[in-house]
Amino acid sequence: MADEFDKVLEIAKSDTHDLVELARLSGREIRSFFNSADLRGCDLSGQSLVGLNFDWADLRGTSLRESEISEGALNNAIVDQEFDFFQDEFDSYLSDIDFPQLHKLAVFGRFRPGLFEDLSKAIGSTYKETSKVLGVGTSTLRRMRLGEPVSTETLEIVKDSLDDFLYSSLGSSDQREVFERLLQPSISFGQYLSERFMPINRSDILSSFEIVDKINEVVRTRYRDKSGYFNWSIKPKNLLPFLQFYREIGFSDHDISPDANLHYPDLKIPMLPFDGDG
Amino acid sequence: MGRQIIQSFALVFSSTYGRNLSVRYSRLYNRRKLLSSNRQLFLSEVVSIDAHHDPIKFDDKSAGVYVDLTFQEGRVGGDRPEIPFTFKLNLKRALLTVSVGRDLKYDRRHVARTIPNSSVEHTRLRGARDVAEREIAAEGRVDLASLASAISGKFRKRSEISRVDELKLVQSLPETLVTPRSEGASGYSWILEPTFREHLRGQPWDPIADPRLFVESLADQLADPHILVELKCAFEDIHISDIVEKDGLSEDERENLVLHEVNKKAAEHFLKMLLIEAHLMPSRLDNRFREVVIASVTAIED
Repeated sequence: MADEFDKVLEIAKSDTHDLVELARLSGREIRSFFNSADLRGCDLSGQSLVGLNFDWADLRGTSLRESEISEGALNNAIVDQEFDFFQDEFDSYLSDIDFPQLHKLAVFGRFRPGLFEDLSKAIGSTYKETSKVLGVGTSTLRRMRLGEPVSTETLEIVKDSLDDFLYSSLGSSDQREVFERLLQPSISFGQYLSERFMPINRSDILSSFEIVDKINEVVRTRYRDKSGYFNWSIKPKNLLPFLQFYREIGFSDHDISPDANLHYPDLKIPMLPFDGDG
Repeated sequence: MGRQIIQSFALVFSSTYGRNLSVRYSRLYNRRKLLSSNRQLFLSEVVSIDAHHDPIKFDDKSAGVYVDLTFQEGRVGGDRPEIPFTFKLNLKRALLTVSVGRDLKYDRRHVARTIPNSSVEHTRLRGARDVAEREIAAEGRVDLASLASAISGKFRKRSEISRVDELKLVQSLPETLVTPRSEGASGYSWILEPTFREHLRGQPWDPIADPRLFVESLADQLADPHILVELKCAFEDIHISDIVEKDGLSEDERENLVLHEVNKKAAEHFLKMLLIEAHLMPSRLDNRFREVVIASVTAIED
């Protein structure tokens, strides 16, 4: 810890004003060092910022004239309108596919176009061989190359294959470059609305995981009803947080069964007066 | 990498969703114990917090919970040999949460929601220029001067009269804006924001006259009333400025030393990272909203 405080001073007094060099001085991971940093008003013009990522960083009033920036590195950052051409809709990471909640959502994902072409070039193989490496069919690879949406199951297969392949063999500099590109935001999630693909922000996807978790936090039991048919009863594991959550997302108290207090007498659930069926 | 994220994800979600408060608290306390044995927390230097409550009785809502909270601005690092510099530490915003244990219930009707007494006068001047045009003929009377000017041919048809109204609006404004926020059955929160300063300073409320809330016991015999008071803030609410090296520089050098803007921002950012890591809170996925627990105390009976 004490060494790291020395490094703070070293960064402050250093003669170099290059962000990559300053991140290297810290001894931390260079790519994620400036995540959520406050860099307002800094002059970064002419710097090479390749390899850095600026997720949740504030870059307002920052001059980025003639700066080199990795593809997608500014996608989750706040930048001036002047420099918003650095941003595109591909704001999610390859590692986001690991979230189990993602597969419960009806979303599709698309890769940045041209990524798999460069991968084929880096491997030095045809598209057919690349599709074998990725574990998908050639038509799926074609879709992905063109940046068309594919299902989250396909994304998972591709991600696993890429992990195996890229971690095992990082031979040529081309392959390393593709690997670096895949560490930056390169996927855009979205859903189909009236047969059109509408991209969704990454922050919206992450916040919807909360809802997925709450809805899945139930105990499903099968029972046989009076007429002899099987039926399912669904009871939340923790009732009060569940009810609070339901109220938060807009369900009214009318959706709660009037019998709820019979089943959970010690919880004393506040009830609306029941005005009957009329 | 992916696996690590999943693990941190599991940690975060168990901590935010697990309403099993006792588990959550015990985890928190173990962490605090561990920390206090290792090193003192840095962020708690800008705030002093103390909490106590009246004796809690069964079916009696008169037991108040009092929080004595003071924000101070200060140079940190002067008395710490491991830091080779001093810096200014400030909070832009904070959230105070009082959470009650499972055997307790707070009175929803008597939660502190008033504006505190300590207030300043905010004076605003507004100038209103009132230009009145009138005609001499419309005035209805003819004085000697205007008669003379009319005879000599210097008759001015219009004369302009201008008037400036000064309006003084006196507004009562608290030093710290306290916005209450309900946390459901488990407790209550207050968002603290400065009104006219840039950072939080002073006491947001009278610690004795304004109890935060009143609690009653649900059980007949209460073994250990558990009231936890936490002060949290987000990553972006911590403001670090003015890093100055302690020694190795003469008085003149220290005054004339101007750091490059980029280096200054990078160093402040790294220092912020280090301070937050000392608090060992699992960060949220979205770093913009990740929370840091600045101080966490249990209210004691008084």
